[in-house]
Amino acid sequence: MNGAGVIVQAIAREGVDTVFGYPGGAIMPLYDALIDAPFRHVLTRHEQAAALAADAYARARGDVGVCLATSGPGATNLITGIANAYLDSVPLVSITGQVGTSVMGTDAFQEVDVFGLTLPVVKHSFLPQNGEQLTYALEQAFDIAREGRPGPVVIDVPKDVMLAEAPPLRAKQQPQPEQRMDSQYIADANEYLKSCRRPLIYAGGGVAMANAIDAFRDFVARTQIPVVTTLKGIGNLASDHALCLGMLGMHGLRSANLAVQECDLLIVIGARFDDRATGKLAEFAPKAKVIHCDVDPAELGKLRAPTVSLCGSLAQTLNALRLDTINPHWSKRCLKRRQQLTDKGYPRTTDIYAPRLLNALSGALDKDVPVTCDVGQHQMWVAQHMVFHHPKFHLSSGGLGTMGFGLPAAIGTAFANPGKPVVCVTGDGSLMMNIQELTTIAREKLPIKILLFDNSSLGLVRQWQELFFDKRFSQIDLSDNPDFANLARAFGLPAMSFHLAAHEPQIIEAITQSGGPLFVHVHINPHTKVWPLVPPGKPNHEMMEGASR
Amino acid sequence: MNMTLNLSTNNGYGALERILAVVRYRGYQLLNVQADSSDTKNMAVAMTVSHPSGNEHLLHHLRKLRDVQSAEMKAAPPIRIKEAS
Ligand SMILES: Cc1ncc(C[n+]2csc(CCOP(=O)(O)OP(=O)(O)O)c2C)c(N)n1
Repeated sequence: MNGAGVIVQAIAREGVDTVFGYPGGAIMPLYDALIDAPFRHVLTRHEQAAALAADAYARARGDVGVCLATSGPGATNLITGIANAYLDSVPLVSITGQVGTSVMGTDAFQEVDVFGLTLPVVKHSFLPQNGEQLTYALEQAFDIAREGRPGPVVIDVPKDVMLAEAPPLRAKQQPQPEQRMDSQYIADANEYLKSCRRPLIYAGGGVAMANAIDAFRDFVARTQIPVVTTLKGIGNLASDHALCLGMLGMHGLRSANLAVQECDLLIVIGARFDDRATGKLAEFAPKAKVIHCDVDPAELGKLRAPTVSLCGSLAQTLNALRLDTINPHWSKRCLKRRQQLTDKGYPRTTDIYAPRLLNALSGALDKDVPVTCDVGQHQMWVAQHMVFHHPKFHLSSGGLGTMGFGLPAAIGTAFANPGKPVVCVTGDGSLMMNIQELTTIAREKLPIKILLFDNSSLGLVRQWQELFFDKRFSQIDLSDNPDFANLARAFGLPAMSFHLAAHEPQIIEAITQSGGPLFVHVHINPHTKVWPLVPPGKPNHEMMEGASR
Repeated sequence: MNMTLNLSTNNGYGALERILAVVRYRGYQLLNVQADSSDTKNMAVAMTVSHPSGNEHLLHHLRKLRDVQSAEMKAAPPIRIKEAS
């Protein structure tokens, strides 16, 4: 069998049922082999979308995603998607075609150094020079992408290597023994838990990545410690759970940020002290001792020196941590603040108010409907105002903050959950970054409901320019947007437009009742802001709060 | 503060490049590097790096690389960099 055939076999045996890609010269042998592949290939209309769809497919399934592209521009187009997976620790295998080995290094047609270009954003990469090396790379790549802290792997395959004979894949080795916890310091951690008065859990995306959701929920139930989450940790505990204080950080909830500043013990679980979460690091959780639990030793002490670091299996670690009784005054204070926010409700407006609409939509959707979003104000409103019951239902580009993620992510998520509806919340700036994918949605008849919040501007940038650059608005005006509803129709999607708050119930009904793809264009007021906001360089308790707009 | 690093690695494709990229990206200045890749399978890399706080985080990041089998670090005496005449 030739190398291309072995690639197909490797993908199939990993249980991947859908790959995303775009053909071209150097990868033609693989596209030929794909005709007989036992899995589906989805032709996106841009390689960036292929990588982002595969990333979301991986997140939604909890396993590896695969994307394919040709050499040169095909491969460079993938890079944003690979970097997105890298910064959010998503297992992704990208296979790129490369020019033949005989011309490599000669600046041949569509030759770029894919290995070098992707080096900083991969967990590992391969450039096999012959069939044996290709088979070896395929045997390794999927396990590397999955194990420990997941991440992307690139295999850059010269065209002649795809055409040459390659040895068959060897039987898969036993899966790596499960990661162990670091038991050395558990007793210390338990001592701190015993002596603290105001403990708080700060949980990130690592919890779900480590398949530790059950252990995490059990730990919270046992200890009754209140929880704040990062953007990627949303859903570790249902957002409406009594102990969930919400997301912390720059656009975090008041209840979450104040709890962090007041706690005397911070139990950090699968989170990494990202600057969006901590604000001014030197003033983050100033009174707290820190117990930091993570699978990645490089995260421990990277930004904040922990009092106790626990490296290794999160589930085992959480099962070994103990707290018999929690100070009731502390939890009461935390939970009261959270309740006050819920009680505050939403302002009345005549135009559509995105946070209110998202909150109501969330209540109307089944609990297991995945929501993808793009990047900007709407992304923060999704995080703040929708209720999530598991991180795999909230697909957001956290680390890289990639505008253009939402639409391809919805495609990847739809293939990971066949037949299930997917909601994609996007902005008028972000949508245009991968709008060509409306065609993919129409072609594949995917039940994706696109909810576009159109504020005729790059809203989040506009907000910052208004607040921190003396209202000197620079290049944020999108008032010449196309007629989005008509554009969606031109792509073959049913579409509708709304302006008024009175239409909010209609919007929710349209989204929840539609069986197939749907495009809902919602005009919102460009002055609406995301609150609260921790200004750059400020500690998290110095939140700016505004009226609704 | 200067530190000497001794790594033993697989002699995989691009292994040295990967190591040096991590050194640069993590904010360490490379003062000196020696790599012996005469063995086709393994490579020994010795380098001196400098970092204002002299922390050991670089070690954790290097140990995460697939090619790196072991990495050790110790404080090194300051190196005099010759100035161009
Ligand atoms: C690819 C990319 N380019 C630029 C940015 C910087 N950026 C962050 S949010 C934003 C505005 C997003 O506008 P829109 O999608 O309309 O969302 P809104 O903020 O209006 O909800 C920009 C330009 C980014 N995150 N990603």
